[in-house]
Amino acid sequence: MSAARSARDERFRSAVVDGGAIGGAAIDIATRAVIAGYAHEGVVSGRVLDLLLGTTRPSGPLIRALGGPPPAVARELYVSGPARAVYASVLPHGEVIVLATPSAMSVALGWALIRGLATAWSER
Amino acid sequence: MPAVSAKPMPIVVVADADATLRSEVSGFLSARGFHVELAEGADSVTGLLARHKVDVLIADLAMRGHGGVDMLSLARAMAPTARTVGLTADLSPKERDAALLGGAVRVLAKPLSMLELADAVTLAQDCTEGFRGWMHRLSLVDVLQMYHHAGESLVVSLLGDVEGTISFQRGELIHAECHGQTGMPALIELLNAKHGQLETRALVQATRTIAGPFDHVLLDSLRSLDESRHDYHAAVTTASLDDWLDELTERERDPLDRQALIRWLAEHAPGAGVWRIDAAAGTFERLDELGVHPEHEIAGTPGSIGWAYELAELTDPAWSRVELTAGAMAIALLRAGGMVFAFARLVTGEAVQRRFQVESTQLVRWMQGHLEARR
Repeated sequence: MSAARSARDERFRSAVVDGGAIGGAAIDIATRAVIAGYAHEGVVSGRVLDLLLGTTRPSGPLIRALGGPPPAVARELYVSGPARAVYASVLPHGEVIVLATPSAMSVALGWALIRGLATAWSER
Repeated sequence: MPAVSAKPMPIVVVADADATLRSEVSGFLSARGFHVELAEGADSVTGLLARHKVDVLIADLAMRGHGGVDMLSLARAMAPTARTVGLTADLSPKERDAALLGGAVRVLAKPLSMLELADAVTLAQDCTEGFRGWMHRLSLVDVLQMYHHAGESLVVSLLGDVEGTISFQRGELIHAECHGQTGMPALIELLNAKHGQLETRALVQATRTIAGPFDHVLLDSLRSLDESRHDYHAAVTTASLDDWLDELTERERDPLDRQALIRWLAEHAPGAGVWRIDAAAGTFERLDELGVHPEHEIAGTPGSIGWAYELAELTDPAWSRVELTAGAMAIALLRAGGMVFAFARLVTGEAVQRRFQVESTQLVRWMQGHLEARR
């Protein structure tokens, strides 16, 4: 593993170990390969990424009733469930940062963690 | 030290030939925070209306300008936003009606009561927006519902065989007075009135003798009234009351009070849109007040709601809250009380996006508390 890769991974390890997240990763949008991450298994599925990034279009009953979404690129997503919350931030240079946190964690802290990761990633 | 910007003092012009009256009114109003200008004749009034943005004109209705033009016509022509309080030594019904039709907010008889003057000036200040005038064939229930839906704070006075007052604060009934009684007994007695006159004035002091949501208070009052008549069916006679009861029954089935939501949005998240969604049926209902914000701003929102919903279902079928920002639109979905709501606003920058996230958190809290309280 290269030194650069280790430094990137370290940021995710810090978000998990020090920040209290469950796991996180930076994913290449084109190849869907995990570029860096820590405890990222199962943080987000490929189908969610496809729908978020526009590879597949939504097609459920609401879409049939309300029409499809406008041709806009998703920038951020947050989904809170009973056990965990998932955050995603789509970066302008072809990566998406994903992070899972415990549901009990403050939403503001979750956003701070993922935005910190996104900023650090963009400044690399 | 930075300068503190003060709210400008409302400007009142007092126009009367009687110097003693001008002096007394000036002292009375100046002590209550008004900037008072005095006019002895119509020429002075013309000059003052031309120089100042006058809020209230208190004028002797007998005063005449060039060509015999009366003060109400002069005020309408020169200062359309000024509200007029008429003074007259001859307060006949004919003179009063003519002055009110001419645009006066209120007409006061001389010698002047300072309490009546204070009430009239407060009302004039309260009339900056909306319409005023006469309507007839309205039931008291109609009027109360109207002010409830408008979320108004004011006092409704009943005049006639049964006299009393009913006070509203932000659309809720808070106080009633009638023949020495207050609270619910007073409200019930007032609702028993069949005819009379209504007047409204500003709510200056909020006394609370009635508690509870408007619908419940009104329904309880009408039930008590009916029981006291021992004739439940005969009591419910007017079409408007039937309609109201039907509407109330319908609304009581709905765990969400849409008017309460609209008031919350106006106070905490102006410019945002809210929808209620039935994902299984593929239907949705717009809940916020149409026309409050530029509609084109959230024109593409419903499609994004479907997108956010599918993302939520794919990520975690047991989701409780979702936020999706795409392009310049931010959508929040929340599950509360077995229903799904969408909250959306246009985000034009990072600060607005942060604001949206705070609003969405506040809405979740409000919605949970609101639905719990109504349950």
